[in-house]
This record gives sequence, structure tokens and C-alpha cells, in this order.
Amino acid sequence: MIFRSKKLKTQDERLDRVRLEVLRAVKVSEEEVDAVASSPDLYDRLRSRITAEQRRRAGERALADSRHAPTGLGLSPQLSARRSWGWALAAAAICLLLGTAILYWLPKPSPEPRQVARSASPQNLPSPTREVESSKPPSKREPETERPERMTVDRPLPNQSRPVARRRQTMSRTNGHAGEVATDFLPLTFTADAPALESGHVVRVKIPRSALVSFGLPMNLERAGELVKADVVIGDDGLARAIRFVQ
Amino acid sequence: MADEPADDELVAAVCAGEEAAFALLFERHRRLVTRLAYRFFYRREQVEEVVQESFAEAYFALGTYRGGQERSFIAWLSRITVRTCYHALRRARRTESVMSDLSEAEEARLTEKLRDAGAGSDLEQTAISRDLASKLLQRLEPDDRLVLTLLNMADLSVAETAELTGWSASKVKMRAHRARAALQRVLHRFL
Repeated sequence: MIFRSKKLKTQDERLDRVRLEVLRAVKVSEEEVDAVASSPDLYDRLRSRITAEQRRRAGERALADSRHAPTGLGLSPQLSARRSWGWALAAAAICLLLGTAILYWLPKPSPEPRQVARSASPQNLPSPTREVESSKPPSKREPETERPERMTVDRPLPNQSRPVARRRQTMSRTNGHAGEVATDFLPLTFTADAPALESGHVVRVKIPRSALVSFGLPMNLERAGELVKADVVIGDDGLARAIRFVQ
Repeated sequence: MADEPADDELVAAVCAGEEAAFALLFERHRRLVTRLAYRFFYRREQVEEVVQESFAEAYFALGTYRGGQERSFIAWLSRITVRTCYHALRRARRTESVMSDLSEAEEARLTEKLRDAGAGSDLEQTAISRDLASKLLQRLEPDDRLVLTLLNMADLSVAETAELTGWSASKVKMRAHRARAALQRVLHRFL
């Protein structure tokens, strides 16, 4: 073992000496350096090289200038076509980006019930079924599985005969707020004789869950004490005209 | 001697359009550049090419030269020369097939010389011919050659080598270590 390591060490030393010897061998003498440095035509060749390089650079500069010419008259047809294609692609990319940005930043349309509350009187408020059906054409109706939540309501409708009103209806509407589901607006019957609603505004309130019963909506008795969110349409006369429940 | 203009003044004159000042700069520093080029190349035509290229580079870069206390013209020109040599080494590495440079006779001669040297005989007497040594060095990567040449042949310090190459001192040390190992691997074949 000792013998082997000693042998390796000797070999390393030998390699190191040879390495230095190789590096020493390529050294040149001052005479050789002088022979090249004193070459009489060395400067002349350097001058001609510099002149050639200056010409080359001037040519490059001229080419660059012609590329930046506003008319592009000096360009070859291929270069011109390539440049116009480049501009067209750049313009298309900018348009695409702008379109995406506009779609992203434009405010989303306000939820439909707000418009309903402004344009219809309480008597003429559409029944939940009618509004759902009219507002969503069959072709654009979302598939059943995509609907976030569904509420089933049994309640008498003021403007319809009782059997029809008792019909089981499905109401489902996603609100403007993300993740909220709301019923359609239900007319408040105690304002049935009020004048037609010209304009008004919607107020978000919290009311006891027990109020659901008065609108014919099912209620879990165990959670009767909790509050539920509701949007109330209030006319300019200050009277509440319609209500919808939000979950 | 005292009447001779300083390098910085000559540079300013060249930048002002005085071509004769550049001839004076060339005359003053051509030996330095030639000596530096000879450390990397061994054929006269290669050396002359590097000398011309280095001075031409310097001529076009004179506008960027900041003299005075910042850096002497010699250091600035040396750096340009080393960079030119490095690029020339890389070009040579791409174009020349260095592995076929050694003929069988040369290999046998080299092996014999190296074995003699390794056996403890006088190294000066068993000097390897420059041609063989240069062919051995051509087998190294340009970076390895650059650092070995500057450290072991030009006897520069790590700091000076770092200054000339533009590398950090730690990179110079690391490169030097790898270069020595690489050269030893090349030599190991013949021992």
C-alpha cells in the first residue's frame, strides 16, 4: 500500500515536471519576437487592414440606414415583403392583446332583476317561471349540471289562478356576485294597488329566515332564528315592491 | 526621451484624426503585442495575424479608452491582445483537427523524450521541441491554454491574469487547476 502510494506520488511529480518542461519548451526568444515585430511591412499591412475594416463598417452603416429609411424604397422585394409580414403579425398580436384586455376589464352586465324592478310594476312583475323562461332562450340555457344551486318553491302567485300557481316551479338564478344564487323577484302583495313602478332601487337586507314562509318558500324549522339575505326593490315612493332571496 | 508624447496624448491625437500618432503608438508597443502573441501561437504567420488584429481592434476601440489613473495604455492594449489571442485559439480549435497533428514518429519521439525526462535525467538536456510542445498544448481547451500560458509561461500572478482575461481571481484559480489536470492527462498518455 505504501509502495503503491509512493509510486503514484513519483508519477505525479514526474508529470508535473514534464508539464513545466512542455510549457518552457514553447517559450520564444527575444530575437524571434524582434524578427516579427520589426517586420518592415507589418504596419503597412495593419493600415490596409484598418482601411478595409473601415470600409466594411461604412457599408454596414449604409445598409442599416437604408433599412431605417421611412419609404423602404431601397429594400429588396423579399426584404420588403418580410417586413410587411412582420408588421402585420405584430399588429395582429397587438389587436389580440387589446381585445383580451378589454374583455377582461369591461364591467360585467348587471343582474337582470335590477332592470325588471325598474321597468315593471309589482302587478306586472313576471312570475318566476315566466321570467326564467323568457330571459333564457332554450338554445342558450345552461346544462342542468352546470347550475350552481336550485330552489324549489310552492307558492301562490297573485296574478294567476291557484292551480297554476300551486304548480311546482323551479327557480334558479345566479346573481351578479360570484357564488350567489337568488330567487326571482317576488311581488309584495300588500302593494298590489300601488301605482306602477317607474323607477326604484334595490337594497340588500337581512331578514329572519321565518319570513320565507310568508312567501310560500320552504323553511327549515331548526334554523328559523337565522338571518337570510334578500334584495328588496323599493320604489321612489318608498314602498317595497318586490323581494328576492339570495343564498 | 522627455520630448516623447505620452500614450494618452497619442491616443487623444488619433481620436482627433491624426493618423501619424497611431503609427507612433504601434512603433512603441509592437514588441509587447508580438511577445504576448508568441506565447499562444508558434508559427510566424499566426503571430503576425494576431498582432495586426490586436492593433486593429485597439484602433477601433480607442474611443472607449479611458487613460489617466484608471488604466495604463499598456494594460489596456495587453487586454485587447489577450482577448484577440483567445478568440484566435477558439477559431483554431474549431477549424484544426488537433488530434491528428502528431504523427506516429512524433508520438514515438515524444514518448521517448518524456520517459527520459521522467527517469530523472537533466530536464534541460531533454528539452521537448517547441513543435511537439505546441502540439500537445493544442489539445487543451482555449480557456485552459489561456490560463496556463499566462500563469506558467508569462509568469503572471493570479491578479494580473484576472485583469488581462477579465475573469475573477477565483475563476482564474479554478481554471488553472483544471488546466493543469487536463495537461497532465494529455501527458499521461505518453508516459
